Amino acid sequence: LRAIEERLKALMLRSLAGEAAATRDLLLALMTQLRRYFSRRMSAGADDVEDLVQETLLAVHLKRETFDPDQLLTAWVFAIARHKLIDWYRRRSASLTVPLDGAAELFAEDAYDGATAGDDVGQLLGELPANQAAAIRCMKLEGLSAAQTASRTGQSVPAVKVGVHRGMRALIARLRGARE
Amino acid sequence: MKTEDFVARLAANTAPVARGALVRRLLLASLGGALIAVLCVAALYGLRPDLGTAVLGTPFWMKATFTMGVAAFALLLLERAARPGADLHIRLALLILPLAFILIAAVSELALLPRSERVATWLGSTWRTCAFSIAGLSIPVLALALLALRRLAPTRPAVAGLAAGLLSGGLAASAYGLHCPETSAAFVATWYLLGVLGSGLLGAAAGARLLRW
Repeated sequence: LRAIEERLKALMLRSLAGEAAATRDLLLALMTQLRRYFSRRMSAGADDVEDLVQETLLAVHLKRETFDPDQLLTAWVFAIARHKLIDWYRRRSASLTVPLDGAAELFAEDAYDGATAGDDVGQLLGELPANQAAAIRCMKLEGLSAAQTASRTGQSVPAVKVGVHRGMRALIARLRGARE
Repeated sequence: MKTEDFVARLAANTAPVARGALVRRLLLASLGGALIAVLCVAALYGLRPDLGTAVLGTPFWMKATFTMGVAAFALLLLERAARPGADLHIRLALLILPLAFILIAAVSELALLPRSERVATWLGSTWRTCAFSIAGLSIPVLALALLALRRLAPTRPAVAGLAAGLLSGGLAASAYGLHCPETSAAFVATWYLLGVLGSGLLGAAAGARLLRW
């Protein structure tokens, strides 16, 4: 790691002196590192990763003035990368926002479906051990947290988690069996 | 565009960057800001008529020490806040120094005064306008500082804006000292301080909005 840091910093210092070849070597080396950095942290396609790699490389080049030679080059680069990543998430969540007009229709309940689904679920839960059924009812149907469920049903938190997990697996297995 | 081609195109534009370019940019903005603030004070408020004798006394330099101290330590913070990945904690903590200076001066001043004179000393004759004047004077200075910051890379825009605001407030207050006839440290520790803090908050709010990159 230290070898990489020293090699990249030397390239940066030569780039700051105006050497184009050093800039190219530096940016190409950073490109590979940035690809790895972003693809690990984004649940997005290769196109988005590559966009962000380019955006970061552009910032690294345009903002070279802000690099302090007493600083670690990798710390400087990844602070920029992190800044770009946060910015990307912010832009993405902004573009995912939808105006709320007419949302009431989307969320309007279909009473018939809800009722029959409730019946089916109730029937299925009846076939499970009582503690698993209670835990699933609290956590999955009423939306309580594991801790709230634990205090409601008088089980420990790990027991609730295990119960929900086993119960759900049993339910899925039973539903698969019913379909076949 | 393929990233390799993109890199080649960027590398073709490798202009040399002088060592200390960032510091020079910030110093230039500060000097320009100080000049603007002095011109504004001279044009809008007028310099105090007794300026020639005032600069020989301690109250003038007590004020200047505080206001220029704020500007200097804010500039130190700004220099770090403009760099990605730089540690800000020490520079943030250093801002306590000018604050401690003026608070100690104010407390020791009031302690020596008879009780009956304390309030009058604290309020002076211009307490109603002082903080607003300083905050107002800092606005053109702040604009200049934010302009310089946009060329740099603040990853915490609100902190960078705060530093720019305190720098502008410190410079504006220093210039305002050329007009302001008040001589009390308690006055400075309250009304100057409020003006400078107002500039700082203004800078933080503006920075959070304008320093995206």
